[in-house]
Amino acid sequence: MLLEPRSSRVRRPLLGALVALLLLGAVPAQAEVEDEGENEGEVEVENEGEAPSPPPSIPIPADLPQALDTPPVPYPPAAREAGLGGRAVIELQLDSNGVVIAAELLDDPGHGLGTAALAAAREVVFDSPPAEGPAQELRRYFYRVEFVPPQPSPPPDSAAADDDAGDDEPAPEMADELTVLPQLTREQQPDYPEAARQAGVQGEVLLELDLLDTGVLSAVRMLRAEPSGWGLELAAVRAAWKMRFSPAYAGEVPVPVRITYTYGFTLEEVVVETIADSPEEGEAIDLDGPVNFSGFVRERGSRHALSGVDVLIADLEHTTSTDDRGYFEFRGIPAGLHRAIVAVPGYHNFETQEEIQTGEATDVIYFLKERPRGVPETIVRTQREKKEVARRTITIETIERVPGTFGDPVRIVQNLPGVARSPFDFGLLLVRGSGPEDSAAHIDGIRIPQLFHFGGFRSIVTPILLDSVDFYPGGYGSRFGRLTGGILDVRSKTRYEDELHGLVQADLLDASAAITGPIRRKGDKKRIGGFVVAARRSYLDLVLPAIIPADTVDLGRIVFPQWTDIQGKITLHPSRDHDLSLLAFYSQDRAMSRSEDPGSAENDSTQGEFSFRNDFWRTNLSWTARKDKILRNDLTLSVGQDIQRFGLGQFATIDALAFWFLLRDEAELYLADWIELAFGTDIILGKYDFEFLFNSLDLRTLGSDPNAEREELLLADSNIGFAPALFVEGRFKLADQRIRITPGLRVDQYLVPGQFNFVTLDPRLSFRLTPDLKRRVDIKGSAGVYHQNPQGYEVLDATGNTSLDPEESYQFSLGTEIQLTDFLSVDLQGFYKRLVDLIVFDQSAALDDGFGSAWVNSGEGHIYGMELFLRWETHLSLEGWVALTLQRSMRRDRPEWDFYWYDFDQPVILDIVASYRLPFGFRIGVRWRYTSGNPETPIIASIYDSDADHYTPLQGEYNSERLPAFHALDIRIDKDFNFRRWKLTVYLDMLNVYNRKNPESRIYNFDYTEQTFLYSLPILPNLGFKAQF
Amino acid sequence: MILSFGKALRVLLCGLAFCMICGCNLLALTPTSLVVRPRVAGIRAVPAEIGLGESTTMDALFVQPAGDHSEWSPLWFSCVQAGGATGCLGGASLFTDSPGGSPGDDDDSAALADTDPRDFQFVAAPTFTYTAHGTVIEELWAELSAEERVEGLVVLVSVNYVPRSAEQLEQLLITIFFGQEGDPGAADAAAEELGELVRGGINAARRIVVSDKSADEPAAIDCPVQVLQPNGNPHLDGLLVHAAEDGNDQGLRLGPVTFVGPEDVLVLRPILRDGAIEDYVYITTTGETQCRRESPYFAWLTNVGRMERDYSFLADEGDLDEVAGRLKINRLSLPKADLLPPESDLWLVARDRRGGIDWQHFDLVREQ
Repeated sequence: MLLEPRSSRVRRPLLGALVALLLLGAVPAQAEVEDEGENEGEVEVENEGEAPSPPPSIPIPADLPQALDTPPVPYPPAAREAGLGGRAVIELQLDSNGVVIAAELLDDPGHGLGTAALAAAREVVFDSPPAEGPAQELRRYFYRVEFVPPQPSPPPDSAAADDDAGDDEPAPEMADELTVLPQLTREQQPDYPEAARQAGVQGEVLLELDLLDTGVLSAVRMLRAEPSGWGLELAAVRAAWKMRFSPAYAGEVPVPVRITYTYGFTLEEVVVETIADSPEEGEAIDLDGPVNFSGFVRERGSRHALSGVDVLIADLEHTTSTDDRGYFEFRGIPAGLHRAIVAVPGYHNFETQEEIQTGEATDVIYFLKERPRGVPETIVRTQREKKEVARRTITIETIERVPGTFGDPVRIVQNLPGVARSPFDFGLLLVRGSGPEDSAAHIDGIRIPQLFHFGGFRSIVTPILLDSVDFYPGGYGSRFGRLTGGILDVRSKTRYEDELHGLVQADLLDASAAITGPIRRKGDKKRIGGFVVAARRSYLDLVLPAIIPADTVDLGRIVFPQWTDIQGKITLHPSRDHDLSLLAFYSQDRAMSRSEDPGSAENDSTQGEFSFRNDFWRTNLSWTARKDKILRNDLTLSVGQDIQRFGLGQFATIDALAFWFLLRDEAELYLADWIELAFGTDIILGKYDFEFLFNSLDLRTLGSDPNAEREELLLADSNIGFAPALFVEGRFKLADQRIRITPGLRVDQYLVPGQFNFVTLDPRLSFRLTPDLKRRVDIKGSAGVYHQNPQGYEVLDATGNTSLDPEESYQFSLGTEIQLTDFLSVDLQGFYKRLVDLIVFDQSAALDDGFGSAWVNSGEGHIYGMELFLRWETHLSLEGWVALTLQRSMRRDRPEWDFYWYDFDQPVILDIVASYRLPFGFRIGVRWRYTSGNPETPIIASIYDSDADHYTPLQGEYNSERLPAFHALDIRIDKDFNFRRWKLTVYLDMLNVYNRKNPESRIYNFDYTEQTFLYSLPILPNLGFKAQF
Repeated sequence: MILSFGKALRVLLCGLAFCMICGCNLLALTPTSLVVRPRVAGIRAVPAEIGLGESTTMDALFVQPAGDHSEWSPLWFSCVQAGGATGCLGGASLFTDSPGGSPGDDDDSAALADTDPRDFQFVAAPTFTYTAHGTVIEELWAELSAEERVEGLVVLVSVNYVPRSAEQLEQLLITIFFGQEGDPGAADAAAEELGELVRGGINAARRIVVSDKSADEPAAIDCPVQVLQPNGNPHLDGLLVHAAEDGNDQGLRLGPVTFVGPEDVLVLRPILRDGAIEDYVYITTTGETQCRRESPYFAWLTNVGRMERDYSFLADEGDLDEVAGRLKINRLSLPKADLLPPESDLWLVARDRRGGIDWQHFDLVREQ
């Protein structure tokens, strides 16, 4: 083996040259030294400390001049008869008159097609190229000629030649959601421009590629080159035109996509193995022989299959490609030692030698190591069709490493525009000035009672189960209802790897484990689905009591949260047009504390044992059926149970039990290119039982006399609730889909027999305009009516007013989305919400007959604001976003009263999130948050109540003051260790790095003469690891 | 010295847990038991519960920081509590800007003239004797059923301590009600001054139950008492000071004057007079007769050092410090010599959770 120094690393020229010379000296006899390698070392030494100047640039013009005279391209008869077609790409140089002065065939489909295209291209006469720019003789253009083989019905006897796909070519229609990404089936490394090589210039070129639904490249655009002027652009574009891709799929349907592709130009030493015992020259490969060399190519660490990868036996110049399982095989390889090479963009080149024995088969697994940085990488941006005005989709891979989330992707929703910060980061969903009860979380469209475990540290689903998180801050269509706030829809996993994978994760909070894999059919072992199982358990309740010294804190008063969750999902594809899945998840929360002396001795509610239990489970059975591209139907049946129990000291216990049956059916019907229809139903049937047991309640004076005798009171209710809904949406796509209008209607009924029954009608409308030809600017807006049913305690017989109406909201939004570059986009949106019929508790109401008269629909409110979402998608190893929300939220409880700032009114909310990928498997993420403090009501005086030995505060104007602003910096550092069959990630997630004391609530001493703040978490490092195979 | 990982983790988690519970800063606030400014710590009525037409006499426990000898004097008011409203707490509006106009207005005078003077009982004196009579309470009483009269009505009494001596306050009131010869505006000025004093004063309130325990017959149940009786005050009988740190010895009675030294720790246990914890019968809102026993608790106040706990309870409620059959102990930790004043105070207030209250005061004198 020897080292072949093709060049030295430009960043360490001296060291690189020395190493190269030393190694050359060590093995002079066998060195296959290329001249430029030696020269390179000399150049770098001479130029040390001096930035090289670029040579004259060779730009890539944006537009190919119009073809004035296009001669017919003769279809080679042999190819036509054989039904062979393909695409030829020719590089042209034009003179100042538009005459072709040079043509080179870049991509030849063979069978004489390329030659024919080249000949025809030389005869094309173009109009004059644009006058501006560099010297015209240096202009390069890429000319594409498609040869379409004859169809059963004879087509025109000529090939179709089209113009170069320039920037003005409309983007291919993007699929709703890709299930199979396009794979590179033929890679083409660019020629390193000689001037750049000699000057030691490295860099990268970002290209945008349009792929047809056949995988054929239809357009190449150069988006950015660093540095420019060294010819890297031209080299990259030329190489790109020679690449081949496999089609992308949305479900079972091949679809066109637009991808970005980065060519990295890096000068480095290349390890080359010499073959000590190569087979005899000229020994032939027996292509009809048995498979005697096969194996898999996988990513090191994750073991993900690498498909479409070329495996080269270099000494035989024989290549094969891996299939979608990463499998490859060779037939009839002659015995002996062979040099196998696997080169995949984004991975270190892999080279090894294999010994093939006569009469034996050699099976191997090659693990390729991902390149850390500055290497070619392929990023596929799945541009989902934008049906909603304000849906923000977050892919799990993007956010799993955002600091402050403790690796929980769902928590990232707290850093999106429109979401206010929850006090103590407890995980409340506070969306666009609404309260926590106005927003809800769904899993696969099915509503769940809570998304976060106690304390908000963790969501109830482990990341491996997640596919994406859709967040709708408002203005959503008629598919969702029963809420006036936002909706978080967590989508569960639908794609599975071809092999068994698992992970184990643990940090200071909890530990989790998961396993996922394919389901294969008996017999042919064809994959027909997949499964995933995951479980998690926290251990704060076990660890903290054991290690906290008893004299440090009163352990009896501590609320140790404990959470557990278990999830599983099975997905089957019984046929091409049908998917079945069964998702089950269970979430459990517990917390308990004991208190004897909370400072208010007479208050039974804070003495004794405080306990909290909140469990729920759901089982969702889903069936997706497709009929070509015409109809798609998603049906989900869900059953579940909620179990809640609160022990409020000696004061009361609350038990609530609810069984749920939910049905959601949603159909999408393609009627024409310009219209689709979506309609469905959303039905909730629930049976609930609850019991409020008050152990000592002042029934005579209802709390106005602290010394009144206390009695036991049991409030119980049991009933059935029924909430069916119908919704319909028309999706109009006009003017080449540049105008999209979606009117919708939703009808909801809320029925509890004998208690209440009302029907609401919610018309909604959204639109999206795309005025520019490049489809980089969207203007969008929405208007709609939204209703929300009263909370259970507000409307039930025992505790509420059964005559209440639902709350109502009128929502409007207007905004724009601008794709500034391929990786930088901005989403700016203004919104207004009018709230009416808000349910408020009238404290002045007489409570002689219970609370029935106290809950009234007399509240109203206004919410207005704007959201800015500036997003930097993966580029230059950096990704992140800036989310800014400016908003105001005001309410009043009676029309004749003044408005007050709502409890969660946060006028300024700013989140800056960034993640940067470093060399050697490190990644660093930062998050900085700033939010205005929540409003608060001042206490201006107090009166001592001798009976209770307690001071009664006298409050000032409601919410007339505000807590200080919150800001904090969180940092997360990940380090990946890639082993052959598994991968280990160690991370440090550090909250509040500069230890800002952020007030969360104002607290007073016993007589309200002194005050201080309850602060949010101080600096808090959380160390953890994740091992996955 | 570098902390080991285990210790660092332990410190971290301790800090985390502590901050999660109390925000790391609750200790910065003055505890209930520490008297750092003048305040009212209790209002006692003897008897604690009365019938219609009967009287009860009230006094207040006014506590001050050590060495604070400023003069404060009380003003007492009473109101009948109707529904959930707390009535005329404070009484400041009686002297200054009320919605109906300023004091001394003819309209107010007319209104007062139409009011039964027995409905508005007011005095500026260390004690206040309230009598349950007047048009308002009698009309409300008449609306009660016999069963409702067992629990009866609630009268709210408030006391306002103002920073004036008794003589100064008396002179102010005379000026308000009778004017000052040769100065027609003196009454208004005095009323305004008193209003300011009341608003800046120290306010406290308590409730007086007006009931008729003979209005209903409890069912016969197994109980030490068989008849409905008005509540009585708990009777404190002093404090025991223990030599043993856990209080598990006989202890000695703490005298009204106790000599203490710097950094002493007094292990203290309340003593209740025999029978102070009452058994009683109660008829619930559903008509069930229940046998109940009082569960008094004790508030501790001092103007020196630090009480271990602000409150203590009965031993049978369970506690690490309990000694079977006795009340729980509490500890007073006295400060270092430079912070220990020559004279300081300790107050113990007992409440029976039914409106009954009693207290005792102990002088702590620094040993020479």
